Amino acid sequence: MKHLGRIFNGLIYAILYAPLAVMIFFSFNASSSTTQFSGFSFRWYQNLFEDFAIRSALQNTLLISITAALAATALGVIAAYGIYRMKSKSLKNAAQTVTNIPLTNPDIITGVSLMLLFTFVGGWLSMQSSILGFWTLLIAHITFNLPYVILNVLPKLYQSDRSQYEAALDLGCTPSRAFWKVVFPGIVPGILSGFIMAFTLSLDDFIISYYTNGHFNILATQLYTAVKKPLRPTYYALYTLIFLAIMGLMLLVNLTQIRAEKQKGSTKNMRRTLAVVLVVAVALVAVLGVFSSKRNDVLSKMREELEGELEGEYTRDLAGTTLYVYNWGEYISNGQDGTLDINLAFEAVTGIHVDYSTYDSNETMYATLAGGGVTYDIVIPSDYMVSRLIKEGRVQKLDYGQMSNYKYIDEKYKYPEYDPTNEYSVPYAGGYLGIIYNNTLVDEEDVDGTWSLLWNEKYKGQILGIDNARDAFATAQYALGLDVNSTNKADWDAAAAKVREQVPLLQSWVMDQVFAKMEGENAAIAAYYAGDYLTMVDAMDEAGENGDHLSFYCPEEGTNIFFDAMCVCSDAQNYEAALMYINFMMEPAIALENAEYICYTCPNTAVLENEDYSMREEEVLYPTTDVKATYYTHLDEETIAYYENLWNKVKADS
Amino acid sequence: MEKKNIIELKNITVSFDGEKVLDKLNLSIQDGAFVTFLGRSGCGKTTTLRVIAGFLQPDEGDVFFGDQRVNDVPPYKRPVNTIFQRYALFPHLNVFENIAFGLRVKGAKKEEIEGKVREMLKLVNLEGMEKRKVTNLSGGQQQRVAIARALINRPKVLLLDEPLSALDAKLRKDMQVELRRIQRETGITFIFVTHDQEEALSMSDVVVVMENGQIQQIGSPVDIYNEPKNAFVADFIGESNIIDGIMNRDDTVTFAGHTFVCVDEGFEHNEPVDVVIRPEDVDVVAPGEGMITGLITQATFKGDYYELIVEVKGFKWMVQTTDAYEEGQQIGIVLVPDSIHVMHKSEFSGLYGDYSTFSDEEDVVPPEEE
Repeated sequence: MKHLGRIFNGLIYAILYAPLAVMIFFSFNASSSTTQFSGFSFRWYQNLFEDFAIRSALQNTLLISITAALAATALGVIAAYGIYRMKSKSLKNAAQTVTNIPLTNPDIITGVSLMLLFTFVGGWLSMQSSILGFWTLLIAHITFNLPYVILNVLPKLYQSDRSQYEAALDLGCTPSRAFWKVVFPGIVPGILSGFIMAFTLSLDDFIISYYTNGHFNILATQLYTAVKKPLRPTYYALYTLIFLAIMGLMLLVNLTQIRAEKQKGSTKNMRRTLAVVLVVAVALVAVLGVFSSKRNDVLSKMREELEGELEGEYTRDLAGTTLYVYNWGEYISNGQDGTLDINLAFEAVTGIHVDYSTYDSNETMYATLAGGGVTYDIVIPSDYMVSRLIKEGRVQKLDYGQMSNYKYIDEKYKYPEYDPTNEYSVPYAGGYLGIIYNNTLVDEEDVDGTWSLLWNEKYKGQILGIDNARDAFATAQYALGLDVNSTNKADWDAAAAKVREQVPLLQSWVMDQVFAKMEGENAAIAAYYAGDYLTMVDAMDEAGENGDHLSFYCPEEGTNIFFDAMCVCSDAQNYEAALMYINFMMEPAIALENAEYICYTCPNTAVLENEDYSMREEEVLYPTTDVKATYYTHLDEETIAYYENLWNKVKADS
Repeated sequence: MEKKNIIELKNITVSFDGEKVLDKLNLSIQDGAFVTFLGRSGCGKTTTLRVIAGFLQPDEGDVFFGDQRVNDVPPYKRPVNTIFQRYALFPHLNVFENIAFGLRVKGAKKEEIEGKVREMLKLVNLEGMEKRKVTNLSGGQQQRVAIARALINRPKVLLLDEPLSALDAKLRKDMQVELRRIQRETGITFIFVTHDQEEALSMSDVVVVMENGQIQQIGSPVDIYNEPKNAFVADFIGESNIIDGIMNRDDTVTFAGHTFVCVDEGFEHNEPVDVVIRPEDVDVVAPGEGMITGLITQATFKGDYYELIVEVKGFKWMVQTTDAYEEGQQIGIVLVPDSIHVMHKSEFSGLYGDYSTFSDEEDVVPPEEE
């Protein structure tokens, strides 16, 4: 029995810590593969310290966590003391209940309601620019931290001997002096654990931050929106470090608490710990600050390097202003692994600071714009969303005359369906939906160039379904020869029926897991995007596996083409800078860097004609044969609701 | 020689949650006296102390220190210091710093603090302990630190809230003597709260007996014992048989079917009264020789005396005698005039003084009073 208990315990710990262990393990992987360990290396740690975006997000995260924790601790102690001193018992109970409610409240409700409050206040103050940002995030974090601090401090107050406080008064202390001299030393342990708890909660929080951070990027939101590419191991390295730091902190606190308990009554150690924690926190922020002071050196060096590389005219008239850019996560060259940090480069040249935040879907971006409370200058949504934004007047016309590099945009991408008058958008990057298959697992004769491969029963259990309604139904619609933008319910019913046929053959529904499954050769066939196929091949090559095991084709029945395009918001605060930024993105040198990094179809002719562009011959990005491709259009709400409902039923039955 | 009043309470009323804890209480305390508030748990004695210390604002009534009304003076400005029931020493400070606390708050000079703390350590016999942590001290030592800490500011009045209740019996006796000595040495007015009548009688100059938020009697220990004002006081202080009687006229009272000569005067003609007979004042004689007779229902040997429960006309008396008696024996009872104390009827009449349900168990120490 004893052994059984021990084994059981061990098992529980193994389950608890296995995910962390795996993350730490892969943070030392030489390649970015999540399935193959290709050798020990500090590559991702080095990467981490070179990445300005992550560093600034980390700096922001620490800044918020520490300030919020400090503020919440100060307010929480005051509040706890107030509750403790309340005369009426019923009032006291009421106050305690009220402070506890936010604890039981789902984070999402706290987040959404805070966002509503902030945007309401913003509207009420008729603020022109964003209200969501550092201050709202700080207030939000203080709000959810506060109950935890109170919860930690109140018991210490109740434990404390009320007559000690009275004794201090009796001996001549004013009430406030009595608090500091007598009550405070007794509750220091509670304050300390409240502070640590608040700090770690702040550090961990995603949901509430997601709704209230506005432009202010923190690690959690940045990580969440990093959808355009598989998660970089740099984040594993970062979270390994954070995990170790927090563990160290906890150990320190526990050790001091144990020691303090041994020498009962002594709060010296507690105070020392509190001091150590504060010093460490401040030092961390300071170190990061020193790092970012190196930013200026990087900027001036970059500026020199770009001298003569650029074709457009870039004045420094707007230097010192800020440009707010809202883009998909992991969708711009950001300086890692020796690539160019484009946002930094833009700042180096123009002196305009790019405040860059990210989203994970068109719908998220739309909700943010429509929700108010935060304004952006530039957004980069996909085709159908562009047309919706145009229709709703959320984006404004562009002065193409000011963008000398617009001439490089391939004619075939001008006057697109989503912007028929070609007044609102500049294409950024795009790609085709297609079928990725493992040519060592799929027999050559089964590859007939059509969507039917996804329904081939021979590969039962090796096919991956794409886990979003529009794309999954589109594969069926193309296979059946139906219009993917149909508003006819019967068409959607037919598509749903076709998807149901596929269900028994599927290994699973995937989005991001597609990378691990295909790279690990654990699945044979998947419908996904061309750019992602290239990413997989790269990752496999890098890990020393055979990237050439994977193939891609666009089915001949037709497929989806998507394009993300740069637009300027109607309420943009920095229109001139926005045009400058778009022009900058179209610079041959810049566009090349970006195209190399993001691995999607680039609409820039200067890039396509450049022999240095490693992907210019890439058939999957630039098909030489004619691909029958259609954009998705923005469907009416009724149709969306209809197919979403069908989708939920299919998923429920599968 | 009339000493001046240092504290006066006038019509003090305090209520907690609508319940009156002090009801129009009036009290004067003379300078330099050792005054004890004696009463059961919940009688209002600690509340009265807290009103004097300033921790509690009376709902009605005035508190005077000398001629000055101090209702609105906060505790830290009142010239009183308190010793709390569980001492309330500051656990994060050592003995020296605990004692020095009051002076430090005042901003006294270092040399002054040194000197005065030494003086206090000497007063309470704690020399050499200044570096010790207060959490490592024995109960008696903690008590001494609390005394020293409270006295270092030279208060005009020292308030002591059941300071000895946490000590064992032996230590309690020692501390009683100690406190009395310190009070004499310093000449400071002590207001001492206790529920222990023996403690109150042995230490005090003046005992204030309280019940139901009111003062039942104020007087010297001897007065309180010998001349209780009502059934409550008579029962609470020592053992008493309290019997219904009729005061026929001055110096003559009838109870238990017999008319006795007594020394009490100033009653109405034929006024119904409570008669107090202390168990030790009863003379036990042969059945025929007594003024009244009774039947022993219980006899307990107590070492230096016997304790008898005697049934007299349906009422059970407690009697203490040095002679041996047995259960079931008939005895005669003789009461000399001095052993009879007559009281006016009060709200407490009939509640106390009957030993029908007497058991020998000691009263349990009541829980802390709020």
